[in-house]
Amino acid sequence: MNKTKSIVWLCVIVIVLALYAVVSFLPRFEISATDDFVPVVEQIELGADFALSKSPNYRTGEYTIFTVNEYYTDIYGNYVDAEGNIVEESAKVAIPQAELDKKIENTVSSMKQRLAYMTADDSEITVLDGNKIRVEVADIAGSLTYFELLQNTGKVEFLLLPETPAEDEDFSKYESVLSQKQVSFYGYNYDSSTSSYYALFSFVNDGATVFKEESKAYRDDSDGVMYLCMVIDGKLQGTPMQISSTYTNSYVYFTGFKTTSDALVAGIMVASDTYDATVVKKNIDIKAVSSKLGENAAQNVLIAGIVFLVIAAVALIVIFGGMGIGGALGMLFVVLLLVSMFVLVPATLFNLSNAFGAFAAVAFAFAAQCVMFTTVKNEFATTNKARKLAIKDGLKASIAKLAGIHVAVAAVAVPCAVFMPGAVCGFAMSLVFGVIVSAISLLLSALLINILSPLFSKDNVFGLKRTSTKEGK
Amino acid sequence: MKKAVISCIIAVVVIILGVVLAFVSNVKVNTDFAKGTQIEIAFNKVVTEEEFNELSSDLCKAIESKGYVVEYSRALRTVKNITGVRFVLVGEAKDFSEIASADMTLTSNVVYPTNEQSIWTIAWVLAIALAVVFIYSCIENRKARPFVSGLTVVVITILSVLLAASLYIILGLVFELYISLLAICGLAFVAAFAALASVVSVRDAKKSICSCKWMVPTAIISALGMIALGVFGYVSVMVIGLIGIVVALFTSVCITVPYIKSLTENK
Repeated sequence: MNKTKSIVWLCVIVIVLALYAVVSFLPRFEISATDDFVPVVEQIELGADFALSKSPNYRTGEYTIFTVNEYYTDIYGNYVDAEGNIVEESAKVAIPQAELDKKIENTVSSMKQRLAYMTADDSEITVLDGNKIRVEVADIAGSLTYFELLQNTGKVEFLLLPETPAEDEDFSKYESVLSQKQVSFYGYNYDSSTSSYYALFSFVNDGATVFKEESKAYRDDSDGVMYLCMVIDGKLQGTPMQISSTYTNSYVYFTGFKTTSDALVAGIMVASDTYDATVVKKNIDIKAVSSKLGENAAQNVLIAGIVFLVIAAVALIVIFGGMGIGGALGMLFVVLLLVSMFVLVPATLFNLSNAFGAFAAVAFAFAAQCVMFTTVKNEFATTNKARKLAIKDGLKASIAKLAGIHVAVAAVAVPCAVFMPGAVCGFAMSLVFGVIVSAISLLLSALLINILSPLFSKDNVFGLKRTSTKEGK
Repeated sequence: MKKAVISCIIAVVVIILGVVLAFVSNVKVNTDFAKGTQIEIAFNKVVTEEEFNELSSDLCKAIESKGYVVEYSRALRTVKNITGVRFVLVGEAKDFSEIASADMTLTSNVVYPTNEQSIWTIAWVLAIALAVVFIYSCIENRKARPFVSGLTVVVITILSVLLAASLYIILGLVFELYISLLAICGLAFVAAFAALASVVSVRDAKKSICSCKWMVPTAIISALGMIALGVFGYVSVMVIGLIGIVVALFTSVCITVPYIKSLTENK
């Protein structure tokens, strides 16, 4: 590559990077009465640490507090004793604190399952005073739906009845023929024949065998049609399923749900565990709360990140001379790609742990650049090869090392991102992004070394120095 | 080899010291892992952002003057207005009723931890990570002493994580640091960087190349990055990050490189 070609290519790369930087970081401005230019960095969905709401105009989240019933009750609201026998209100039995703590712990776990099904991806559940559960969600538009969904104990029963149940049917006199663990929620859809929605459940574990035997036993006792009812917390869900012979299918379904939400709620109750503790049902009182780290926290992290990038870029130029300019542009590319990754992977909400991970990712990318440049430098210093050949062989020699460091970091980050919950997962996700963007940026840096080389006639200015005395070819 | 052995002894001594201190003294854990206290103060009037910052700061100072540690504070609000403030304190606290003035209403609750992690999950994750690094290192060094190289990387990574945890406990006692989810992130950071450093330094040492040329600048720049976070208010992240960088550098330069070099020279 000659000098002119190098300058042209360098200009093209710098312009592309500059445009990418502008699109990523330029402050928001109005394009028309209805449209705003929104930089990539502002499209990152901030988590509860920085801003609870996904909408930038309402930097709040909403929470409500559920009070846990401290007395033994059944799903119909009757007071019972520890063995489950119904007792008068005057003789209600308090749950021992240790047992209540365990019940609340299990209930919180069930609540998390339900919120996960509803994709309430930035929610926080806190236990207060050992008898209250506070649920905070970032999605203020959907908060009421989430809170309503969390009110139910979620006790699911599948009952076989000889006839269609009456409106005031007392389901407590029937025993469930299937447990929650024997069915799995498959999905829901519109049923044009009944003009309603249906929810489909497939049998899992020994569900199919158990239900076949139950339906056979029913048929042996009576020749009549049987009705399979799905009951949640004592309330009938949808329309009972009519069965007229021994049931051999691998699924059951219930029609008659008025809305998709009703069908989905029935499915979620099957998919999540029943609450161990009952929640006192009353009107949901919604309150708002701001982010954990304050209003300017996200901006502070961004400024700290830019400071870090500048330090890293300057250090690369100081240590590796002309070659380091390629590294500095490579680091800029790392940061730009990293910001884009947080936008492109929508499941990732940006919290403090993600910011920490992003800093670690930039440090990692810097290490990778240093390894590559050091190997090239070493190749030139210890052999008598010409600069072009030394760069080529140095880059080749660095591949194995770079593969090693990327594998090492990915080996730690990927299992953490997959198996660890909460903050550790957020940190590891950022590091996984870092591994990907670092690998891509190294390609750019390698290209830039070759582009920059003809522009520096002196080896030492380019960042190369021989330790042997012989001149290369 | 002598250098590696001495460094190993120093590391083991620090680890033992950390373990002993963890049992002897009260290691402080934040509300991620232990009960805390929540104080909510309603202002009973609408306040502006500026007034809120001042009020919140004064209330925070008043709480801290009683010897309590404020983990974080959040504004309680409607969509438009700020109506109060919530402080979350480390540990169970009492006796702060006089903090609120006459036009404020104070309520307090015990906050139960909901982020308790199973230690076995962390152990499994580390085991998976180490297995991958071990296999990779064995394959990479398949021509000469593959198992020695693989084991070195694994041992160094484990040593680094333990060393960082011990240092965090020791420094925690001096500077009142708390074990939190962020500290666990810090350990993941140590594991990643120690594995990275040892994989490359094993390769460099075998070829008699000095790893310091890339490791020292990386450590300095990473440290500056962490300091930048600290300057902008994230002190705990800075401390965890700095410990991670120092530990990864120490284990790699003072243990891995001399050990592999001595093996190569003996051969």
